[in-house]
Amino acid sequence: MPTIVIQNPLVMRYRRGATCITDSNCFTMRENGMARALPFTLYASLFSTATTMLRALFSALLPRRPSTMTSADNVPQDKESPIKRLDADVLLHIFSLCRDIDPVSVWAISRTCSRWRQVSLEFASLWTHIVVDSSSIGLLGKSHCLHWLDLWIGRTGGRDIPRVDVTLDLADAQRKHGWAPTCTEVDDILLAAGSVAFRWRSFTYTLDRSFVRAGPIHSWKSLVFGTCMARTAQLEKVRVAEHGKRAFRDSYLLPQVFYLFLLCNQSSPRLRSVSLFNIALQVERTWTAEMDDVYCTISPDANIGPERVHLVIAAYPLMRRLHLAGSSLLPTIATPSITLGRLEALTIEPNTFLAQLLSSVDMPCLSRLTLDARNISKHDQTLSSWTTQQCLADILTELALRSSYWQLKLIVLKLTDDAVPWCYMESFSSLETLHISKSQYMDSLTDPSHLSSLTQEVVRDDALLTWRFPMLRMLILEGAGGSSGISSGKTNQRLIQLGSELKDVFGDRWDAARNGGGIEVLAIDLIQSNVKVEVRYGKSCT
Amino acid sequence: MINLTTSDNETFTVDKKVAEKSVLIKNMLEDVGESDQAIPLPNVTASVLKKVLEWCEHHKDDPAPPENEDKDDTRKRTTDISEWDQKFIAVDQEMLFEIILAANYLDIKALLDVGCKTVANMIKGKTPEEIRKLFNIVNDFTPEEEAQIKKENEWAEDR
Repeated sequence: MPTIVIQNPLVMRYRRGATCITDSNCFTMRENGMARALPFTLYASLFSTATTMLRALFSALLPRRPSTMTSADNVPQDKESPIKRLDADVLLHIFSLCRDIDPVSVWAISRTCSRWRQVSLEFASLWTHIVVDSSSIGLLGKSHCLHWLDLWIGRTGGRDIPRVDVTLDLADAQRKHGWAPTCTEVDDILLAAGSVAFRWRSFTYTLDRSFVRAGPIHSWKSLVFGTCMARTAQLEKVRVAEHGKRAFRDSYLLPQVFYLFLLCNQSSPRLRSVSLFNIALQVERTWTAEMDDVYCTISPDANIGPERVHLVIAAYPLMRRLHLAGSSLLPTIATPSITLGRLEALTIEPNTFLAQLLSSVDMPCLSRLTLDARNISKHDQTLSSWTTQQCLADILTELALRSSYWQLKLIVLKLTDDAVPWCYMESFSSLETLHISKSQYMDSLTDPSHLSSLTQEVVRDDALLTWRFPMLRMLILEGAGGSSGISSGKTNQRLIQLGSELKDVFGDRWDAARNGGGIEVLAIDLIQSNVKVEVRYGKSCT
Repeated sequence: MINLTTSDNETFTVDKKVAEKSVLIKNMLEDVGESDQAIPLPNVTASVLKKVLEWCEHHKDDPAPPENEDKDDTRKRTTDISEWDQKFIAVDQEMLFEIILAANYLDIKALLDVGCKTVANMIKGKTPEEIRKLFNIVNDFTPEEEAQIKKENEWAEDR
C-alpha cells in the first residue's frame, strides 16, 4: 500500500494521476509528482469535504495499472497540441498498438519529436516485431538493409525482452520494389535474423527466387545459421514460402533450406503451427513433437510432385489439424499409406490432386471436415465450376468409402456458386453440425428446394421412411454480402423473415423429432453481414 | 442511481451499472457504500463526461474483459474497432484526446483501447512529417538526435 505524506497542505507528493482533496481545493497530481490547483470548489461544509477526502484517498489507494514513467515525461511540450497532454503510459499503449498494426511505424514514431523518440527507444518491446518487407524497404531503403536490420535487432533489447517476432517477407519487397538482392545478401539477412533465433517467437520467411541475383556463396554461413537454428526453443509459429523459378544454380539459405534446418534440428518444443507454401521434402523426416496446425499449399507451377507433398504430411504424425490447398501438374504416382492417428480436423481444397493424395492417408480420429472451394481459381485457373463440383464429390466419396469417417461430427462447406453435394454426404450419419457458407445471397441458401435433403423423409432399403442426418443438431447457413435488393441496414429484418419461412419448411422434421422420430431437434443459424438470426423450434426468430 | 460531478461543476445522474464501467467509480462505490453524495470527477469536464457516459451506456452489458492477459502475446490483440465505436469516436482531435485522458483517469480499459486504436490507425503508414502535421507536433529534436536520425536516413537515400 502506498504511503501518503502530507508535507504541506497545498503541496502533496503522491502517485501520478491520483486526486487529492484538501480543505478547499482539489489537486491533480502531475507526472512530476507535484500538485496543481484546479478551480474546483465544491464543498461548502466541513462534513462533505471530509467525506470527499475519504473517497479520494480510498480511490488513490486502489491498485492501478503499473506506471511506466519515462525520462520523456519531463520534456517540455507544445501545449497547443492535444496529443501532448497524453502521459507516457498512454503514449506507450498507442505505440504498442501501432507496432501491432504496422511494425514499421515505430521507425516513423522515433523520428517524430524528441519525446516520442525517447519513449520509443526506452521501450524495447516496441521494436520486437522485426520486419523486412515492402513497407520497411520502402521507408528504410534496400541497399543498406543489413545496417537497419542490425539496428532494429539491437533495439529489441537483451534477454529481458525474451521473445521477438521476425518477418522476412522478401518476396513482398522484391515484387513491390523490384528489389533484387544477391544470394550473399539473402544469406546475410538470414544470418542477422538468426543471431536472435533463441528469442524467436514466430518466424516468417518468404522469397521469390527469380528476383535473386548470383553472388559469392560462403558455405560457413549455412553452418552458422544451422547452429542458430539449434537454439529456437521459444519458437511457436513458422511460415515459409518460396516463389518463382530459380534464376541460377542456387545453394544459399532458401526457404526450403530453412525448413530442412528446422526439421533436422528438432529444437523447437513449443512449435505449434507450421505454414508451408511450395515447400516439400525429398526424403523422409519426422517431427517427433505434437503439432496443432500444419498448412501445406502447392502452386501448380512449382513442379512439386505428390510424393513430396506426401512426405510433408507424413512428417507430422502427431498433428491435430491439417490444411491442404493447391495442386500440381506433375503426374500422380502411388504413395505409401500413412496414418495420422491424432488428426481431428482437415481443411482441404476440393481438387483432383488432393483427392488422390488423400486416398493414401488414414485419419481414424477425424471429426471435423472443411471443404473450401473459394480459392480454387487462384491456385488452378484451369478448373471449371463443373470440375470443382466433381472434386467435391470425389473427396466426399473417398471419405465415405471408409467407415471410420462415418463418425464425422462437423462438415463445413465453403462454396462459391457450387451446389451442395447432398447425395455424397449421406454416409456421414453421425453428423451433428453442418455449416454451409456460400458467396451468394442468403435468399438462395434458404430456398426450400436446396434443403430438401433435410426437410423431406426418404425411403430406406427396407421400405421404411427415415430422415437423413438424424444426429444433426445445428445447421448454419452463411451468405456473403447483402441480401438481394435490400440495404444492409435491413439485413436483420430480412433474415428474420427468411427464418420464419424456414420454420414452415422444417416443420415436419421438428415435429418428428418432438414425437420420438429418432432424430435430434435441429437448430438453425442464418448469418449474413455480421448479423446472426437464430431459428429455433417453438420460438420466435431472434 | 449515482451522481457524478464534473470539474466544471455539472452533475450527472446515471445508472449504477453504467457508472460502474469505470473501475475507479466502481471501486469508490464499493469502498464508500451507498450514499447520496455526488462523486467528484475533477479531471473530467461535462462535455467529455457526457461522451464517456454515452459509451458506457451502449456497452453496459458487455462482458468484463479478461484480467490476466498475456501482455507478451500481442498477436492476440485485435486492432479492429466496432462499427458503433467508430462512429462514436469520430470526433475532433481535441475531444478524441480528452476522451482518452478521461478513459485513462476513470480506468475504462475498453474505451481507452478504442481511443488509442483510433490514434494508432491515424499514425499507420505515415511519415514523421505527416505525423507532425496531423497532430500539430513541433520538431524539437536536439542536435544529437538530429545527427543520429540523419545518419539513419542516409541508409534510406536509395529508396
